[in-house]
Amino acid sequence: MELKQKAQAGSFESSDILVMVEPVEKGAGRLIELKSIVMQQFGEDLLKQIHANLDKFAIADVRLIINDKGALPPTVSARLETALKRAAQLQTGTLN
Amino acid sequence: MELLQEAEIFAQLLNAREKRQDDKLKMIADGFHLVSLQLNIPGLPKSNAQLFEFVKEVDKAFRIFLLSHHPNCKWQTKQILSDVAGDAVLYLFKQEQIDKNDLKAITEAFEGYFKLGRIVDLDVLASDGHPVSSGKAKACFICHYAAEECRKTKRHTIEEVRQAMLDAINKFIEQQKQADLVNKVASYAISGLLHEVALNPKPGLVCRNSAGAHTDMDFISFINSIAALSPYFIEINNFALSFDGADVAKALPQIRTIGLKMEAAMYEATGDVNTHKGAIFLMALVCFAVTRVVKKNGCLKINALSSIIQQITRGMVQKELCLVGNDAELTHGQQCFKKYGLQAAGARGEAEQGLPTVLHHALPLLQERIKKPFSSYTDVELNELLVPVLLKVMSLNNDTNILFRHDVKVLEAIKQKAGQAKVAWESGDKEPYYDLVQWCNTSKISPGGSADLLALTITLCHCKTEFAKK
Repeated sequence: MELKQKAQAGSFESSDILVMVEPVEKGAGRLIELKSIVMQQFGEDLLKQIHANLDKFAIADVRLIINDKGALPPTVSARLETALKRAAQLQTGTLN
Repeated sequence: MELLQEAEIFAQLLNAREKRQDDKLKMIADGFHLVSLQLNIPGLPKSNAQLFEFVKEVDKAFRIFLLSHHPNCKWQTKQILSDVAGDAVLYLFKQEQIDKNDLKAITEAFEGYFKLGRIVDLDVLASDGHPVSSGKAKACFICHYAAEECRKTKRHTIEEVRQAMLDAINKFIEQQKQADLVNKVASYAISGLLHEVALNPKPGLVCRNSAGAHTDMDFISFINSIAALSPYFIEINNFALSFDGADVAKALPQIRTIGLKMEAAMYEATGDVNTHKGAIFLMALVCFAVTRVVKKNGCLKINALSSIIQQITRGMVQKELCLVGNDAELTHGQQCFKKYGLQAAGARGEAEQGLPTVLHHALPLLQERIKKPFSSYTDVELNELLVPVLLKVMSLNNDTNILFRHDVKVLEAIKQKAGQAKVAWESGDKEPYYDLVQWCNTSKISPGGSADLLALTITLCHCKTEFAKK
């Protein structure tokens, strides 16, 4: 998937997650800033899930700013997918 | 099929949350901090009638919390949102008026103070578009761990947590309703007594401007007495809520216990004058019965009310009037009964029959005459409204107050005069009523029993309006 623009998905609501996507130069890698209210216990799991999703969409270079308010895995995946698709101009939504 | 539906609802939920966030960001654009009150309940649906009712209760409690703890912290506008993401109440505060961190501290204090604070989320979105977070973890609703941890590790199923929360909310709403019921019925009882004595002029009875036929009491005695009786109505109503036997007749000794405390309070407040003895007996029964009927049915059913009062007082005339010995120290009512028999069964007879004078005659008449909310009647209009009701009661009631101090002839005369005065009053001629007032005052005839029934009628009229079938 080719990222073309900045985009975001999600919200600050409880049990939700806000994902912001920014395209970066090729070779820059995955620059992930993750904030979560459950960072200590579940930060690792969250990161693992995010990488798995990026693998699925074959994205090697991206900046992600993520603010998690306790979202469960299905919500995390859904929000990340939407944000990426918006950045790739495959789907419309916030910041398009 | 079900899976598909769930996926659909999940997508709608995510969309609704994004939209809500967008709306919130638009609302704060002109320099506002936003507080959003939402429920934190897992599972679906996020909103239904019960949850919405609870949200409104929390909103009420939050308003009172702000006013009482932070009187200078006022929101500019309030808005209620309902969608698949649930119900939310949004409050906008001017950023010049309060610091965002202070606002967060206040909302956190409220979450701690409010009984079901753990189900409630009060989020602060600062005017710069960033949420203000305390970083504190909320405890799980079921166990002592952090709520987020339980959620992530699925320590409890969603259904389990949801059910525990719904049960707690149900209980909360039920308790609110019961507290409200207790207070309202007590206030209506006091209103009935106050409006009865305030009605002016009345034949032979104590009124605002006259002691009527009485020399040992006046308007002030009644004010003192009603003030002394007031707290006990709450006690009776609470007892009615807590009494859980099927046989209400067993409640009588306890009702009497409270009634006797009321009598003592009355004598103490009036310097040993009997202003409300009959009224205490009847009003206590009515309060008990109304509270019980409304608790059970959600509305006031007159037949159920009548039946409860009959059950409580069944056999009372027989036991307390027919079977009393000669040498016992008799009350006025008992002495009357000895002399006149069943015609003089008085307050006990009225109760044992299920308040027929009030429920079949006076209350229907008052309800027919009342054309707007009781509270909007002026002094003059109330006089117009209530006099015929008093006359109706007087025309029917075998008032033991009159039998005790006078005789059957006087009673029959007053019943007849009251009936005639009512007809005249309703056709616009008030003279016969004023003549009756004059006659009773000068002949020292006081229909105190009828006054009690008028008070009950007013009380029940309030109750019937408030607890009407919805």
